[in-house]
Amino acid sequence: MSLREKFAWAALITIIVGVCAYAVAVVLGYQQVIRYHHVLWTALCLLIAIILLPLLIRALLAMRMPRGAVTEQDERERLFELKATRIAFFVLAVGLMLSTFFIIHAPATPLDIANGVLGITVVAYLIKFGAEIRYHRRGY
Amino acid sequence: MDGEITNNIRRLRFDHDEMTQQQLADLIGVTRQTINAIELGKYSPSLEVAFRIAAVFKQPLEDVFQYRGKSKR
Repeated sequence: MSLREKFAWAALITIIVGVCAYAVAVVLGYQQVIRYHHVLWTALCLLIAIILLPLLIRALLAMRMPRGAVTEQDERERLFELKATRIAFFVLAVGLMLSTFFIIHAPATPLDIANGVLGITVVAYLIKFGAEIRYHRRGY
Repeated sequence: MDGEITNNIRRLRFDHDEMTQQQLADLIGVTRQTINAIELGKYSPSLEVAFRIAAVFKQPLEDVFQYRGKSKR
């Protein structure tokens, strides 16, 4: 498994774990077990974790695989990333159009809207990293 | 595209003191996985990488890569 594939796995797993934790907080928020500002704090903490954890995992992987770390991303890996980003972009674009439709036509609180947009962004990222991993596994 | 690109990299590596995929990858500046994908015909490299591979083996490009296109009738 190449270092870039491991990076993609690290990002994918971090996002899945972070989103699951956030989903629990959101459900508890809707059930009024915890207050909304706790949900927002959870979101902020998870956002920081989602940014910092992959960086930490990258650093650890790079220390374990120094050869891969010094090698620049090659053309095939760049191609995988671009192809995966293109797929994720369409998901993001469609999701944002749908969320705009629901904002106009359905009653929603600001928190609902924020959760919707966050959800779409997360799905787009999951698809991006998932597609990258698939390309790496397939080899082309 | 209907054509097929084949290559002799595996044989050329063998002829060059059984060079490993990793050694070739280091010389070209790509990952070992990319060399493996090129060898298996799963990935067609850019012209630049193709020329670099040919240069490592000191062979003309057409001796390393061959293109078999379907003839149009």
